[in-house]
Amino acid sequence: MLHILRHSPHADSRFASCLRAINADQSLLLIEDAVYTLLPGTSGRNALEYLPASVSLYTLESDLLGRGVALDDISSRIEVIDYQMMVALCTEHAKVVSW
Amino acid sequence: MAGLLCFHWVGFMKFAIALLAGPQDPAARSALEFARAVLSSGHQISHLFFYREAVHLASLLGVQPQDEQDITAEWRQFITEHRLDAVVCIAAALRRGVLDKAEAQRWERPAANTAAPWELSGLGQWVDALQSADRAVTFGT
Repeated sequence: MLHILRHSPHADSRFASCLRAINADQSLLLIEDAVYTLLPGTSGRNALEYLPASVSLYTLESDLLGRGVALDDISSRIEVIDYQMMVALCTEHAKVVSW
Repeated sequence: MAGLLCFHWVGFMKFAIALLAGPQDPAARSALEFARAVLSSGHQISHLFFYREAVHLASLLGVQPQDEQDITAEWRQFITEHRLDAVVCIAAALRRGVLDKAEAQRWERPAANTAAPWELSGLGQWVDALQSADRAVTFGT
């Protein structure tokens, strides 16, 4: 299952709900304001680091750039992708859930 | 780019895409960029569905400042160019004053503000889309 999260962890409770719902071997894609989760030193970023290693993490490069989140601050376990790769992710997961 | 190699080819798929957020929300652009990428990846879009605030995208009356991008015009152009099925939830549209000619006449309103390529129809269209598409992706939740 692919989880797509678009809300900032600092402004909305859906980030916490999503983290509770996500299971091992599933994927999480951060888009729009959810890219603020990746800011270093924040509780959201720490929560991501605690996810099991089998959870794949992705984020959209254009949303990072649009919000001024520096690419070299991104954790190595997060894969930075474009929209074509987002489409490919959707095809690889039988179900896509938007939070 | 090592990750790119991980994506394996799974054949063409039919996508249904729903948008719930209005023209001023970044989701309106995310959904459009995603829809463009679906087609450029060789997949099909079987249904586009617009509800909640997204029905405002179907209004032909919005005017954007000349130095800003016009997301409603971009959506209209994309739908027309690719001859896509773009359904606007009729209940959400009527509630927000987005009416085509037939609805304006039915409800005795002085003007209509939407027309082809947009089609006012029921939520049942989205249920159909979920049945027939390989993937359903929602934006603007």
